[in-house]
Amino acid sequence: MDIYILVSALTIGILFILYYFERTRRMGTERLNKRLQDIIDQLDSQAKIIIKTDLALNRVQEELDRKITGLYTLHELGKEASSTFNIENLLGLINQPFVLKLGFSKLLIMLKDEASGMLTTKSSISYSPDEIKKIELELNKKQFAGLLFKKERPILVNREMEIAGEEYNLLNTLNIESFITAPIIVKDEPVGFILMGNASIYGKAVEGDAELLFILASQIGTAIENTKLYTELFGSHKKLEMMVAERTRELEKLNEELKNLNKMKSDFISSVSHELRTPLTSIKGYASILMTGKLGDVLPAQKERLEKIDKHSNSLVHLINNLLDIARIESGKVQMDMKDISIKEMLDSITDILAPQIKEKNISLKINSKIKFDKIKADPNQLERVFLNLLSNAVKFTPEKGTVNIYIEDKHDDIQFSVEDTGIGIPPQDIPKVFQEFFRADNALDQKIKGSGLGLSLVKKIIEAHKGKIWFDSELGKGTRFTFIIPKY
Amino acid sequence: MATVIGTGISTKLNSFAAGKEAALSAYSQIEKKDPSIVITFISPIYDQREAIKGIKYITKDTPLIGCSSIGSISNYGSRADSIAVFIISSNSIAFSCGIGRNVSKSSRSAGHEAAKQASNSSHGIKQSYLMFSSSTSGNSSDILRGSQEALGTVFPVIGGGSSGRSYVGKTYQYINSEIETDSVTGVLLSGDLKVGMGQASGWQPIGKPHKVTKAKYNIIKEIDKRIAVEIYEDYFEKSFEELKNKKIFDLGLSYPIGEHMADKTTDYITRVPLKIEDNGELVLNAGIEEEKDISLMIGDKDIVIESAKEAAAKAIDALRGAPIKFAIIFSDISRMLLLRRDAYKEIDAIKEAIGKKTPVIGCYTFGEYAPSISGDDRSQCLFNNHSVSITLFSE
Repeated sequence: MDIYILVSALTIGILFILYYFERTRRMGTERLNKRLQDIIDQLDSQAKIIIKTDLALNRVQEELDRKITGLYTLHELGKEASSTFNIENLLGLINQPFVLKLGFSKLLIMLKDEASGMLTTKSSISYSPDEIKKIELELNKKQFAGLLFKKERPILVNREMEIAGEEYNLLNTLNIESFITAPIIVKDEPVGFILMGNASIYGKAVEGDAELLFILASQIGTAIENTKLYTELFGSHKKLEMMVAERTRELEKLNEELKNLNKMKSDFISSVSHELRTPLTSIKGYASILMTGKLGDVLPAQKERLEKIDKHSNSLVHLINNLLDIARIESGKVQMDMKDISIKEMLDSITDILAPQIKEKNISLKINSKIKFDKIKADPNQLERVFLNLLSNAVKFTPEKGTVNIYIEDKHDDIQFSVEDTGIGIPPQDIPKVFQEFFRADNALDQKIKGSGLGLSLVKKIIEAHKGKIWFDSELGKGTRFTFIIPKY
Repeated sequence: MATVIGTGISTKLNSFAAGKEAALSAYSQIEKKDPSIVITFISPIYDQREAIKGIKYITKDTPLIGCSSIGSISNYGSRADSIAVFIISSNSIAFSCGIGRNVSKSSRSAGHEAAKQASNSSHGIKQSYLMFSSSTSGNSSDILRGSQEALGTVFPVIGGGSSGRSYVGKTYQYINSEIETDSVTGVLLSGDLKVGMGQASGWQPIGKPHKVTKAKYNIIKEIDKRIAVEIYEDYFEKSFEELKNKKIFDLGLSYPIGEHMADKTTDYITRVPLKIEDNGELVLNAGIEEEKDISLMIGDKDIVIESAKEAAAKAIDALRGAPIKFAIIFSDISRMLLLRRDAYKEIDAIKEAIGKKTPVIGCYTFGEYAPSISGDDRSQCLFNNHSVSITLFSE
């Protein structure tokens, strides 16, 4: 019995000990499991933080990527755009590669027509002409302009947004999954908008695109303004050019008329001179015959009158010859007969002719030559007429005991002659008219001295026919210096 | 020879003109040889019919296969919003095409039908099956199963899901002049050639593992005996309404659900939730099984680029030293969205491994068909997401 009790007690004891150990082990496992579960839960919580951070990082990265690409693309556009003042050229630069680089596939740039106020498409990408027509019709019909022109903020719409109304309806109108717009402002007034979007959900427009779109819209606005200014400036310039051209045409016409008039004048003079010279020759001839007494005795009073007829006839012949020469040279009928001539011989001959007048007025005539040659190529008769005219004028208008100087200078391929006197000079008001035909200075001495007023005009024509130039300097009361230059050969 | 590949990419606005330009460019590169097949990937922003007309204008009666895609992968790199045309001229590879329709009604039957058609008209040793399926209708895993029924369980199937303008929008599959939606098209490559395949994802599990406690086909009803959507509500601190309002797809593309493949591996195949039912069930883009361990997945740019190198290395190994003639690459759209401006780095990394001058045909897909990540190139193909699949061909 005792043994039975003992065995039972021992069994109970062992069972109790086993139960105790099992209970402790289970408690340990549970504690361990709980601990493991805590760790897993803790790790899971950390995973949530990682996911949250990853989401944020992805968002930032995406925004950064878009901004970098956008800025780079805009920078490239800016470089190109700065060299154009034409809005069409700028819009041409906003092409498909440009839009794709910004992460979009569709583009619309619409501007308000100034006259009708209707939106018209200035540029589009990935829209057919039919689609554009439909979009324009829809936007103008529903008066979307006010909505799209909003200055304060961009309009960003995508199909996932929980918005209703016109903005969302635009997605269908534009056949697009998402878009963003920015107004185009010119002088603080919205004149249109730029819209970029994606037909695919994989490249949604996001808020970060707004800044780039605003920059782009601003560039377009500036370009429009510049184009307007440039067009205005260009218009003014064109107008001015047209006016100048018009005036030039008028002047050319006048010039042509003047040339015609001049020709008519020359023709008239030539014709009249011929008509005058024939009877004048007869008059002169008959006067000479009468003076010989072959037709009867000539009384002294008659002889005196006949001599005057002869003298005045000679003057008239000289005048007519000069007139004819001017007309001929002007019309190109007279060709210069170019020959080698000796300057010295020519001047000696002329001074011989003028010697009586020079002597009479006790004028000192000097020839100052700085040339080392003597021969030039010119028409000897015509050049003689030039010197004769210039020197006789100098002698005529130089008071007694005055000086007349002839200067000769070498000017490379040309030779320059000057005839300088210490005469009365030319009044300033007459200076522009000196080479005009029949002009005579308005002074007492000039009135006294006989002349036709054709000499200097003829001189100028002869020098120009030699491909030369003539000019003069004059000081009233001190003298005048006529200078002309002609080619040596 | 005997395989020559011409590549043409166009970003022209006019769909017909873009198709014609890309085809002409590709055609000019095959040295006036007879084209055997045209593979094309057309951005959903284009008028599909006009684009195909433009391509056909140049390629005439040459068999054509392809799908809509948001971007192409070629020797020109990664190009979004484009039309890519690849023309293959070969006297060593035979191409036979097939199509299966009504994916939404029976994905398995459609997959089976397409593969059967391609298989029945093929000549020579069947080497690889290239398949493009609708990604927004049906169940991509079932489409694959259907094709495997016709071609064999371990037959190499590559390709992926076509992508549309939006995740709910239509996607397009092309066969010759036909443009289909809700279908699967495929081309079987036969001939005396070697094929090496590699796939990798780079997406990593984050947070504690969970268990699918109730699921049917591609719908997860419960996770850890809780309503399925709560996994996203918890991790992203978003309300049911916020998630339901299409956010789930965005989140799912970046943070998909990864199904742990086997106890002894660390590999996962990923699934993207397309939408949330009113009762909180998650509708995925491919099937998932009950009692499977799952995790939320996260991607990292550097790891993703490394994974591309890893996939290329696997494909090269599988070729066992044979010279690479050309490569077909499919990268998941989630990779393009993650890498963004750096998308070219992935392509560069692959080209660096397979040879910069190796002709590359490819596009961005919504899910990829390829051999299982951990298996060799002759293991059963699976439908995965977030991966890059590289198939190398040697004559």
